[in-house]
Amino acid sequence: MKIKRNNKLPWRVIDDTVYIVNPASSYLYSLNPLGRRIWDLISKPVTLEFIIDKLYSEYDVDKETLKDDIEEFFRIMGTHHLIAN
Amino acid sequence: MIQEELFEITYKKNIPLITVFELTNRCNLKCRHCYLPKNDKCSGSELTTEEIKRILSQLKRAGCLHLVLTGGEVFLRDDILDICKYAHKLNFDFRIFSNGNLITEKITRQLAESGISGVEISFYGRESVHDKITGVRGSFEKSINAVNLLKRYKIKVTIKCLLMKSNFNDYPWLIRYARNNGVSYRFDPTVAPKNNGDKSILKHRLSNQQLKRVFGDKDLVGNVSFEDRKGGGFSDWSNDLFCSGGHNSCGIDPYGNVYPCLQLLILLGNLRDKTFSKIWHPGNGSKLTQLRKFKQDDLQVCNKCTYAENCRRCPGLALLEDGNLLGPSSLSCKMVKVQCDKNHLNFT
Repeated sequence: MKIKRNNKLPWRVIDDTVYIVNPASSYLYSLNPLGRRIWDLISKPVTLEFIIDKLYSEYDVDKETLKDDIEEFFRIMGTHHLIAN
Repeated sequence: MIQEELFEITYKKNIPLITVFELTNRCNLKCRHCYLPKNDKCSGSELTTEEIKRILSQLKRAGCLHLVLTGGEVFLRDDILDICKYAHKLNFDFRIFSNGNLITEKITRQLAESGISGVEISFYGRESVHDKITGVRGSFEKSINAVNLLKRYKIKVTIKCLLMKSNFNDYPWLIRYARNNGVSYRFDPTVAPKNNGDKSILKHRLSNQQLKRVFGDKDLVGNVSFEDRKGGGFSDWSNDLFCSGGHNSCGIDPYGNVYPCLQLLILLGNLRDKTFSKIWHPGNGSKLTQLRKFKQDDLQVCNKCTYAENCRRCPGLALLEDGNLLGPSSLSCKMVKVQCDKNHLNFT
């Protein structure tokens, strides 16, 4: 399964943080610099494995922990409709 | 919390988070309180579609997220849906201010597909009151139709109403209408002078007695905006008696002129001559740099005022109505006094 960001949502990168608006709820979300990196990676459809491998090569982190964190990140993103499968 | 954080960062870094973009001064109504002078001689030609798209791209690069497309009446532009689609493509959170009279089902369908965040429709009261204020018979019915169409296509609708002497008695009806139809509402008691300084329309302002009722009505709490064209209604944040205009909000008129705000008419430059970035980040000594340096300490009269803490002073109104950017705004003075006296606040 491939993941990509929900391109229907308004968003901007401001001060190294991604701010995303959900117009339906008027809710504003923010992603920190790591979240921003993931947001960039999912500008086109990619697999979860691709994202984990990419981040593992860029950050000094245990791979299992990274995998758990990324899965949790996408679970939350999915709940708020910030990604499109 | 995130909203406040974003507002503060953009304010401090002068990132134009909110832009109110007037796409035309033409209008199909003849509202008695309109702030646009009838004979708009300063104009030249309206920005073309391509010019607007170029400006939107520049605004995106500058960090603008919230965009208001307004007029005049924006649906008099044949290219409005094209502009909306482009704004969506650039991931703006954009909405339209309109009187709704030209909104058809075909337009509504295309608007829904354009990714628009919402439409705000001007209303003034029941049919007879509304049509009298707009100067066009049948305008009320068309606005009602627009609300119904927008709702049917699941576009967020807000009805907004300028409160004046002539429609004051109708605001409870408007609240009932909004609630019965599941739409948001917003009221504004700020009748501003025309952009050319003409104060003849100020006679429509509410009396002190009417203002007292506005401030005392629990149905209006949280739905009253005190700064009609400032910030596009996205936020009430303000850290002193200056405002966000020129920091993180800006206004652009139909001819490409850039202002700190469409209520604060200090011309910063024209987008046909310069890029947005060049206008928004000018060198030292520019009008904008000077404006950004002003702090509450520079407001010598307001600083001594016992009402200062509660005041929603608008620098644009102070300049336009009272002729001094650093002086009191007579309307703000009137409103804060009525509001505080209503609340029985004690001052020493």
